[in-house]
Amino acid sequence: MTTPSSALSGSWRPTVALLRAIVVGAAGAAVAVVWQRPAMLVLAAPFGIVAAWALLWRPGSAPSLEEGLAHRTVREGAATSWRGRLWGAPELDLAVAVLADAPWFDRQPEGGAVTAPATDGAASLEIGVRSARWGLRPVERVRIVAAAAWAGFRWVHETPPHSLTTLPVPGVFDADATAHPTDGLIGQHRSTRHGEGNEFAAVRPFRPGDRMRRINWVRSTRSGELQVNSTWSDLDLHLALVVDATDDYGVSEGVDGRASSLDLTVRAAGAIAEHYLPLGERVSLRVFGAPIPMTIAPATGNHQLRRVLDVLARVRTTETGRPSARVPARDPRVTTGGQLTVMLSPLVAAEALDHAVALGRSGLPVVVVDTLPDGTDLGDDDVNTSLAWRIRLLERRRELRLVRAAGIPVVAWRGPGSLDQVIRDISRHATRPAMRTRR
Amino acid sequence: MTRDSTELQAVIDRLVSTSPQRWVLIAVAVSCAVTASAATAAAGGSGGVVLALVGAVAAVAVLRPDGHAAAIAVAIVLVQWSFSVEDATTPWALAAALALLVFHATVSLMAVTPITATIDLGVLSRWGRRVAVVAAGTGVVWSAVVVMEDRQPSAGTLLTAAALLLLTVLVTVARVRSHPVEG
Repeated sequence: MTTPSSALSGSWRPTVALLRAIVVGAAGAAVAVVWQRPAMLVLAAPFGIVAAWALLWRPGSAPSLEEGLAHRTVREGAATSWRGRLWGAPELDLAVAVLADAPWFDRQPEGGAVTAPATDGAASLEIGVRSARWGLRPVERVRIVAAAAWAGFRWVHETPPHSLTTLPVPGVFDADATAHPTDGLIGQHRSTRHGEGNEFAAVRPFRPGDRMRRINWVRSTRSGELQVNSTWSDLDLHLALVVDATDDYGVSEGVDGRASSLDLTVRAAGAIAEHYLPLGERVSLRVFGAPIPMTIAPATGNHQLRRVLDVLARVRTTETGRPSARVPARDPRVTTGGQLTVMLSPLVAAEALDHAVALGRSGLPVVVVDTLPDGTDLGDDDVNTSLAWRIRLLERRRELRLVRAAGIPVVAWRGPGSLDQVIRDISRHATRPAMRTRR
Repeated sequence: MTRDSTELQAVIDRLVSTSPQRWVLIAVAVSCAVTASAATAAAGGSGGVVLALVGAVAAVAVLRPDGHAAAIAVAIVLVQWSFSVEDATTPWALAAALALLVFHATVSLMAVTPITATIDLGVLSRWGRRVAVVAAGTGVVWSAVVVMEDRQPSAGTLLTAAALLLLTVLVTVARVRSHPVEG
């Protein structure tokens, strides 16, 4: 996705190397003449030739530049590349690009610098960029240096930073248990949406992601292109993901190292969404505690998955103080009948626990996923902070007991099967009469 | 962390991030400067202190290739030669000239590339070919000096004047051919 860079700054400038060649060449020749020392001419000859060469191939016009990132969005741990192409200066000899270092980005080559010889006045440069952590961050400026013959003239340009969205890599997740279907389905297990199921819906052209066993070979042979049998979704569940971005605990080392609480929260939310959305379920998302509350209305399909991951990539904690607006227990935009709410939180902030209890009291089936990493300790260096943290963890343990006593299951995030038992319990309880608390 | 320790850390980081190829270029540049001075000493010039001085200035030049230290290193060798070597036809002149050429080319290349860069082989081979061409030209100049000195000892002055005239013509051609620099 390279774009022409308009209003290129800088122009060709003579370099110190050219000045050195001219001065040494001229001075050596002058000394040879004035002091009658022909040998000095031999010593000065290479400098004179180099200076003449560089001046004869003096560049006339500034090169044009096309540059940009190959992808605007990548997954955690995936790599893209910055590409630049210089052209339009016939005297261009050498091009150099240097990408500045930035947190959570690995560069290839490691130093972030590449060189390329110019051919017919054009040179192509490429630097690999690997994003090690989810988020919306800019790839730093790239400093581009073009040089003419013998590095006699130099042209320098700095590109603007490019925004790169890194989607969270969903943690491995699977769930065998099924939640109860939404009220109002036609038939026992069929939804009004297409998805994974048993009941035939239609024959349609093959799309990426379709299973091989769904291919209708007879129709495919007749039509000359792959056709698949689509089915109605068996289950129609609205899964409401509620993400706590109040704070971030623990150390984040990117996709290759330790995960902080926010890492676990975001990756778990992405994993759950990525598990349920392809099955035809509806998933909504609400982020609270962030500087800007973020909400996605329930929907299904790959576009919804992309929306969810995009919003998760933009999650930020509130750095100073608490969010000004209190998060309501229910958001009318994402609340529908028969929803299963999955709240992901490290459960350290009081707001998160209040929020979980409020959701449970509103009559919605709620599962709280505890995303505080094991062994999190905030007070490595300070005795008082360490003591305060241990006291807070003891309080937290008591508060979690109270939350469980209120009928809200709390499970630690363990990847595959984390929610199975809880979802089974909820399905069983959903068939029993429930009493809602009215406010 | 004090300012001194921060600066020391920055220097250590810089050393660690320097590419292996850059170390090779540094070694080539410094050894060529020292070789030029050593060739001058071998031709009858003074060695020792001047050799060490050239080595030290060359070391500064490779640390700051965009500065003027490289020109100072070359100037020291030229002054060393002009004050101590009388023989105009010594082959050491060619050796010193070629060493200075490689020193200049290496420092020029280092000035436009960062210390972390591994320079493309295509660039290196292109610069190598150019150095070979200029070295051949230098060899021609040395041969001409030898021939003229053998035939007529005073012809060296004539040759020098002719070379100066050629250089003037080249610069004039360059000015006529070149475009005005923008900015």
